[in-house]
Amino acid sequence: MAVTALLPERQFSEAKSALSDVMDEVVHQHRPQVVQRHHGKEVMLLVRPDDVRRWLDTFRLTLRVVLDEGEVSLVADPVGVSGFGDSLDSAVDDLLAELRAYVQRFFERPQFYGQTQAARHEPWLARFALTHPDEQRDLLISDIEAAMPEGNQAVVASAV
Amino acid sequence: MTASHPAPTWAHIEAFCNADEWQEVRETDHVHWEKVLPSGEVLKTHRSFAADKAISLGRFSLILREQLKVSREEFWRAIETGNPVDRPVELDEQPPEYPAWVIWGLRGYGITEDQVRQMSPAEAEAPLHARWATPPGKVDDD
Repeated sequence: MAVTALLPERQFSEAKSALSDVMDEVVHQHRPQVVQRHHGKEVMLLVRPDDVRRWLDTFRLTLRVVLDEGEVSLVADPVGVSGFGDSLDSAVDDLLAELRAYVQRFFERPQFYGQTQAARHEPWLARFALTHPDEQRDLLISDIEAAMPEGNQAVVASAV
Repeated sequence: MTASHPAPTWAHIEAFCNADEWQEVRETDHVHWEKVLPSGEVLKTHRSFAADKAISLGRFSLILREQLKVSREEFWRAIETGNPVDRPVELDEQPPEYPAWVIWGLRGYGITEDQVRQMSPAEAEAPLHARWATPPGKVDDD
């Protein structure tokens, strides 16, 4: 049984014997490939990570801040991860470490989290996970800037 | 700190997690705990700093409200009795919160976090809107 007639689809044995072609289609042509076995009872989708990352681009984190004397606390919604520091920069660094730890836990035990309310965190966590580690901090900063009223991101960026 | 309780430290967070039957899920340079509520909500918290380091008032309120889902009173009661919290409990008032973009934006104009702290969240946004409403080249930096 086909998952969808709209995406290229192959049987497992066919995909396995033509894996190089399948990968070329996915990587070079940006064409997602559906692979199935056991008469469609088991299905997977092969897709470029950066394509998925782009699909998930609207799942931006919203960051809230609580200030104490010499201390900054950050909360990232909707995933509920916090970062603590003595400045915004160090709180962002701590938040990065905490997000990485949560993403790792989440995708190590997807069936556990999938049965909880944390299941809805998946697109935000997948977006973060599919961002190169060197770019994850910039991702958080871009999410902060994206929350600014329309059209003012560039004004602030030029002032920073 | 209240009359009956010490200033909270990260060791108190750990003591609470033990009393409230949280699960230690991973240990890197930070210590993490999780607790799944009957509703399916997954609570999570971590210890970023040394156990004896005090936690500031705003941060402690944030941890109680956002991570532990417990009131101040129930937090200390769990530590004192060693018994888990019977949720849901009515949470304490949340500390003032600022959107991160406000802190980030004000920093671009040389306003520090400690200066922002002296403003209400609404007051903190006002200088940004004023700047953005000013045509380029007309900004008065005095």
